[in-house]
Order: sequence, then C-alpha cells, then structure tokens
Amino acid sequence: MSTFNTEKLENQGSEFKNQAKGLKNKANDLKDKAKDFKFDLSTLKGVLNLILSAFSKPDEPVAALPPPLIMLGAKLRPGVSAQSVAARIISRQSEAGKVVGDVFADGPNNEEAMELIRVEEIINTLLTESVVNVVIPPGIAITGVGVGNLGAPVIIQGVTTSMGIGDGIIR
Amino acid sequence: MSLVDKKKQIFGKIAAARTLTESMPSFKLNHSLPSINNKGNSITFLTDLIKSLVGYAELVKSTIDTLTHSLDEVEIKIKKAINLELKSIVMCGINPSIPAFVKSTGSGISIEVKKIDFLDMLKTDPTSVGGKLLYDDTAGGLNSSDFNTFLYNVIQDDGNQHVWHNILQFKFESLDPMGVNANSSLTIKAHPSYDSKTLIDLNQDFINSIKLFNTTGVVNKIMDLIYGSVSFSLNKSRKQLEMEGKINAIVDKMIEANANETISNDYFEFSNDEVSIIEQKANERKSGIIKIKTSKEINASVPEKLLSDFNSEMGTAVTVQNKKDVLTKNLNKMAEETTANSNDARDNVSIKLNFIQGILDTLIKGIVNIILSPKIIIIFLINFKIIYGVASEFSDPVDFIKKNKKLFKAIIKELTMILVKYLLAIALKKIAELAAAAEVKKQIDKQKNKVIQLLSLVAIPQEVLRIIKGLG
Repeated sequence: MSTFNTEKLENQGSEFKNQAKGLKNKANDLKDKAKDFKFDLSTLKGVLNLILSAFSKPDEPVAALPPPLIMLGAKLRPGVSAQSVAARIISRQSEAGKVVGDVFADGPNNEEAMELIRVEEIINTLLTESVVNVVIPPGIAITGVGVGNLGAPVIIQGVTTSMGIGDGIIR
Repeated sequence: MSLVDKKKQIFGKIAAARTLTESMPSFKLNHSLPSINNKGNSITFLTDLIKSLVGYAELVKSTIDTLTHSLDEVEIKIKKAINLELKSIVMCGINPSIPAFVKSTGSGISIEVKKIDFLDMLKTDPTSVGGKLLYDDTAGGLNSSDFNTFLYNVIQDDGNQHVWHNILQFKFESLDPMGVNANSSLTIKAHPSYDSKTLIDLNQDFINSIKLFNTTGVVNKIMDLIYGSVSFSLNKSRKQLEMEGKINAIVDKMIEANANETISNDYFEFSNDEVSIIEQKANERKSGIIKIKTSKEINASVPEKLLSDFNSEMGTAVTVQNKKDVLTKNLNKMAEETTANSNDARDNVSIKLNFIQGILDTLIKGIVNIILSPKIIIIFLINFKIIYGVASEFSDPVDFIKKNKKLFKAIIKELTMILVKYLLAIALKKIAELAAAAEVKKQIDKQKNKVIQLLSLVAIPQEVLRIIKGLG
C-alpha cells in the first residue's frame, strides 16, 4: 500500500508557487519593458506609436432602429438606382472643385462618364451579387396556439431557444 | 509594420480627419514631405507632420518658441555631458591632480592653433562684418565673455600672457624663441589658484565659465549651414566646407541611430553617394545660393546682410518678448527673401514653410558645429595631452568626434529628446484638436443618419432627407 509523503508534496507545492510568482514578476517586467518600448521617445518607432495612439478611439456600437418601423417602412422604399446616385454625385462635383458639364476646349467630360460607370458597376454588384445575412438571436417571446387532449385550443407562451437565420437581398 | 508605412498611416489619418472637418486649413500645398522614407530621423518626421498640421504663421511661432525657450535647457544638458566625458578621460589617468608642467609654475602645455581651430574660425576678425556672425561679445576684446573672442585677441597679442576667468593662462607665440614648440602655438598653464586643485575642478570650472551658444549664434550657424550665408562672404575654402559637410553627415547618422546602437567606424566613413552629396552641398554653400525644387527649380539665398541686421536688432532686444518679436520679424524677412526668384504664389508658401522646417531640421547640426569651435576643443586637447602624453592631438574635427564619440552620441541623443518632446507636444496638441473635431463631426453624422433612416421608413421624400443630411 502506497503512502503519501505530505511534507514532500507541500514542499513541491510551495516551490511551484514560488516559481509561478517569479514567472509572474518576469512577465510584468517584460510587459513594462514592452510598454516602455512602445512609446520610447528616443526612437522614431516610439514617436510614431505615440502619434498613432492619439488617433485611436473605439467607436460605440450603433443603437438598433425600432423593428416595427423597419417592418412597415421598408415596404415604402423606392429601391436603389445607379442613375440617380451618379446624377447626384455629378451635380455635386463643383463642391470638390471639379468642372461640371463639358469643357468647351477639352470636349466631353470624361470624368463624369467615368463616375457613371463606377456607380453603375458598384450598384450592379450590390443588386445582383450581394447577400444580406440576418441572424435573430434566441430569447424572442412567442405566443402560439395548439390543440389540447379534447381537441380544445391551447395557447402556449415561451421564448425561442435557438437563433434564427435568414437571407435577404438589396433592392 | 515598416517605419515608412507607419508614417504614411499617420498622414493618411490626418488627411481623413481633415476631410471630415471643414474648418481646418486644407492641405493643398505642393511641397514634398522629405521624411516619408524608412529612415529613423524623428525630427524631420515631426517637422513634416507639424508642417502639414499647421499653417506658416503657427510654424514660425513654434520655431521661435523652440529657439527662445529650449536653448538654455540644451546648454545645461550639453555642459553636463561634457563635464561627465572630461571626468571619464581624467579617470583614465593614474593621478587626477594637475601635473606639475601644467601648473602656473610649470612650462605649460603647447598647442598649435590649427589643432584647435579646425574650421579656421580664429582667422576671422571678430569685429569684421562676417566675424560678428561667428563670435559673441565681439567688442569685449581680451575681456570678452566669449572665449573664442578672447582667444582671437590673445593670438593678436603675440608673446603676452592673458588669463581667462582666473582659471587658465594663455600665451600665443608666432615664433618660439627657444625653438622647442611649433610656430603659431599657444602655451597654456593653470592659474596659480588652481595649483592645488584637481584637473576635474579645472575642467568643470572652465566649462561653467564659458557660454556655449545663444539664439543669435544658433540662427547664424543654421543659415550658414543651409544657405552658406557666412561661408560665402568669408570665402571659406571648399575643403573647409566639405569638412563641415562630413560633420553634418556624421550628426545625421547619429540622429538616426537607435539609443542602444554602438557607434562603429562606419559612422566616420562615407560612401561615394555620401561624398557626392557632401561635395554638392559644399559647392552650393560656397556660392551662397542653394537650389530649391518646387514646381520648378529656383535659386534661393539668405544674404549676410539680413543676418547682420538680425544680429544688430537682437543686440538691442532686452526682454524675452522683444527677442521673440525680433526673431519673428527677421525670420519672416529671411523666408520672404528665399522666395525672391519664385513667381508662383503656391510655391512661395511651400518655400517659406520649407525655410522654417529647415531651421528645426538643422538645429542639432548647428549646435554640434558650434561645439566644435576652439572653446570646447581646447579643453579636450589639454586633457588628452595630460592623460595620453603631450604628442596626443586630433587630426581634424571628424577625428575629434571619433575620439569622443560617446560624448557626441550622448549630446545628440539629449538634443534629439529635447527637440522631439517639444515638437511632439505641438504635433499632439494639433492632432488632438483635429481628432476631436473629426469625432464631433462623426457623431453628428451618425445622429443625422439615424434621423434620416427613421424618416425614410415613414415615407418622407428623398429631397427632404437630403436637406436634413446636408447634401447639396
């Protein structure tokens, strides 16, 4: 019958504990060193990291729109049109300092034609190749009607337990 | 990510933030950004960044603040580094006390003038037009507060001994009557009050007795290094200018080196490309005209007269504000002068911005060049001769830097840190303003998007939605 040497195990345990403590301290030191190096102003890399950090601000997630409104309102939307998008861009070209319309000396305005091609291709891809995936999370309240033992209707209430998946297309 | 990619990322973020914020000055200038490469020069990058963030007037203001407020801190740090280096040289010797031959009763140390005056400064009269741009307190003569002016006057008084601040005694002899020392040599002895003191005391007191530089001297040196303003009027030789070019190339390499990098012999050797650039720069400085590339190549210069006017006005400025006003007025005049051969208004803005950027980029080189004047080299040579033997000497300024590379690395790193901190504070302030303005704009845009999306769901016409969104 084997016997446990508790003293030996205890010693081993405290040794492991000390080793873990040492490793933790080492990790913290390395962390500090890495932190220092990241913003070490004596190197250009540190200067660049510091400047880049000045730009980084995490964006807050967007709040959801009321679902009933989307259900009803979506039916009222006219749908996208490459022609109308291109027309709006071209009509605003002057805001960016670009020439609107044909320039007498230079002939037809190629840039406007290019704008139309660009928008047509983007919209065409969105309309004919894109897919919208929809995920409905579990926990949606449901009310259902079933048939009881004697054929009487039974109303059931509960929540969905799995997520719902759906596909859609852009119009 | 490579340095160049990170640099591009920063400029991209600025461009994006600027597009979002209409109130910021638009970045449409046709100047180049010389720092967009993989080199590790923080100063050039920061000056490029500031140049793209602020307009000309703000850049002038930042430069003047740097020249007015940071130089005192720089002088203290450099003196500390020099004292430490001299101490380490003395510690190499067996006995830190002043040897008998250097004491006031000894024969003294003999040093040829050319061995401390590598850039031929002492050949120019401090009271001449060009001399006034090289020396300080030029009217003081032998009582000048500037050691270089004092030394020039010692050399003019052949055979007579003169005392500097009761620390060291100097005698110049164009011909040694005993025939022991070389012609045109200085004999240097300690003042009697130092006979019982240590070499460390003498070094420290000497360094503390000299003023390394002031704003006027630094601006003069920078203008000379970029435009050859003083070199042209003094008719400096091409050899001299090439030597200064080599010093500047070494300084550039040291600025780009990492703090932990060992300064190897590579720093003091030059590739064919480097030699070609040094020669081209020397030719430009000799003619006092440099070529500037804008939409076309033009000649630009800052004539000596402008520097003389600036020096005279600075001489009468008393308060810090007076000095700032004189600096602003004169730097604007010099910047304007560099556009004299340009007819394009957009190029002019670019040339003036590059003029101011050049001052900040050349600041460290200007300071190092000033350090390489007789007032610093002489104390190092005295120490070298005491510790390593009287035959010890520096063959040229590159040899001087090489033999004291630890000191120059420390000085350049210290200067870089001071300048980086100063420029970074300006850049980060502007970036914070830009990022905050962009964030406000983004939040407003998100709110507008939410409103128009909600309204689009209740069949509000597109025209109305576009008005709400602010689309034309």
